[in-house]
Amino acid sequence: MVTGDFLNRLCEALAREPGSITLDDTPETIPEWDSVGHLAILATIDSALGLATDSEEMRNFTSIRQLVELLKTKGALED
Amino acid sequence: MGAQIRAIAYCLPDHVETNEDLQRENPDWQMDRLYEKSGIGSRHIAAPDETASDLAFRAAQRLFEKPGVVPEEIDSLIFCTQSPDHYLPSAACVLQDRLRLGKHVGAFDFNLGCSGYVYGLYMAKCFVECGQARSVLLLAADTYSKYIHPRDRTVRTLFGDGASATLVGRSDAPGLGEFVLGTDGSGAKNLIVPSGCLRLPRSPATAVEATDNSGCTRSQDTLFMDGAAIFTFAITVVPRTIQALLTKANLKPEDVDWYVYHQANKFMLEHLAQKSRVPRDRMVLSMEDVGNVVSASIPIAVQRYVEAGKIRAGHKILMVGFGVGYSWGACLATWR
Repeated sequence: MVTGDFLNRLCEALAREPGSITLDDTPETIPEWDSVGHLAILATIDSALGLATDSEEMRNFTSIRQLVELLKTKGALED
Repeated sequence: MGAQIRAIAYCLPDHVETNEDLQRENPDWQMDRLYEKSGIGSRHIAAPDETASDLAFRAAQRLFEKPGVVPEEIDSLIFCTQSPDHYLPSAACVLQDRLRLGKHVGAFDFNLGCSGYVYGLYMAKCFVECGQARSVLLLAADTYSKYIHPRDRTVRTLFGDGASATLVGRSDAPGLGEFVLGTDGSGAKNLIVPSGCLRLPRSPATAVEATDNSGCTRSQDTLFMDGAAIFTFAITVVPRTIQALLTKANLKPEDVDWYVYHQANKFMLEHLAQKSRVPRDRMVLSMEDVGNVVSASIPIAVQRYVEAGKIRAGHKILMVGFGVGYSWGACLATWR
C-alpha cells in the first residue's frame, strides 16, 4: 500500500478529514489520538495491511513518522 | 448421553454508574467519545459490603426459581471468580451451604477471567458426560470495581460487576458441542492486579500511586490493563480460535446462528467480527448497560438474547471468551 493511502485510512479510523494526517503528527497534534484512538490505529494496521501488532515496537510508536518508517521496514508500505 | 445448558439466570448489583456520573466526577474524560467506541453507557457496581459470592448467590436463587430446575439434582458446584471472599476457604464451599445444596455436592472455585465461562462449561460437560454429575451449577461472578482506581479511565469506563448462574444437565438432544481452549502466560503482565497475594503482599509501598502519560492513575494494588497489548492479543487469537472450532466441528461460518463473543467493548467486537467475516446481525452485542462483566459477560448476553426471543430453540451458538492470563476458549452449543 502506498503511504498516502495508509494515512487516509488512519484519517478514516480517527474520524478526521482525508489528508489531515501527515508524517509530522503525534498524539500531541491529533486530539483523537488518545488511548482509544491508538486502538483504532492498531485496528487499521491489522485490517489494511494484515500485519500483527504483536511486538512492543509495533504497539508503542509515538509519531506517524515512526510508524510509517517501521511499516516500510516490514515491506508493508511504499512511498 | 450429552450435556446441555438447561437454564441461565443472572444478577447485577443495584447501584448503576452512568457515563454522566463519570463525566461529572472526571471533567477531563471524553465520555461521549469513549461511548462511541466502547458502546458502554453505564455499568452496575457492587456495594462496599457486597461481594462476588453474594451476587452469585442471588443469581443461583433466581436460577432455582426457573421451571425445570431441580436443585436436588445438582451434584457439582463450580464457581469462576477472580474476586474471592477469602484466600481460603473456596467460596464454592460457602455457597453450597448458603444455597442449601446437599453435602454430596462437589464444590470448588476456579480462577479465570473473561475466558472462564467457556472453561466452566467445558468442566460441566465433562462432569455430566462421564457420569459424575446429573446436573452442574456453574456460577461466574466478579467485582473488578473493587480493584479499579477511580482515576484509571482505561478500566473504570469498561468494567462492570455482575454474576451468572447456569445449570448444565444431561440431555439426549444436541447440546454442548466441541471446545477449543488455549493459554499464553507470557501475557500475564498485561492485565493484572500486581499486589495482594503472596507474590507481592499489599504494603504502603504497593499503595503508592503514579499517573501515566495519558493521565490515568493507579498503584500496584489496583487493576492494570495494557489496552493495546490486550487488543492485539484478542484480534490475533480470537479469529484463529473461531476458525479452529468451526473446522473441528466441520461447520461453515454461516452454520452458526449466533456468535457470542466475550462482551469486552463494541469496537473490539466489531473488528473481530469483521476479521472472522461474521455477519453483523449474527453477532451478540449486550454490554451497553452492564459493561464488561468478565466471566459473567457471555451468559448474561446469552440470557438477554433468549429473553428477547432472538436466541431460540435449535439455534446453534458459538461462545468465545478471551482475556486475562492470557487465556481463551470457544465452544459450540445448540440451544434447548
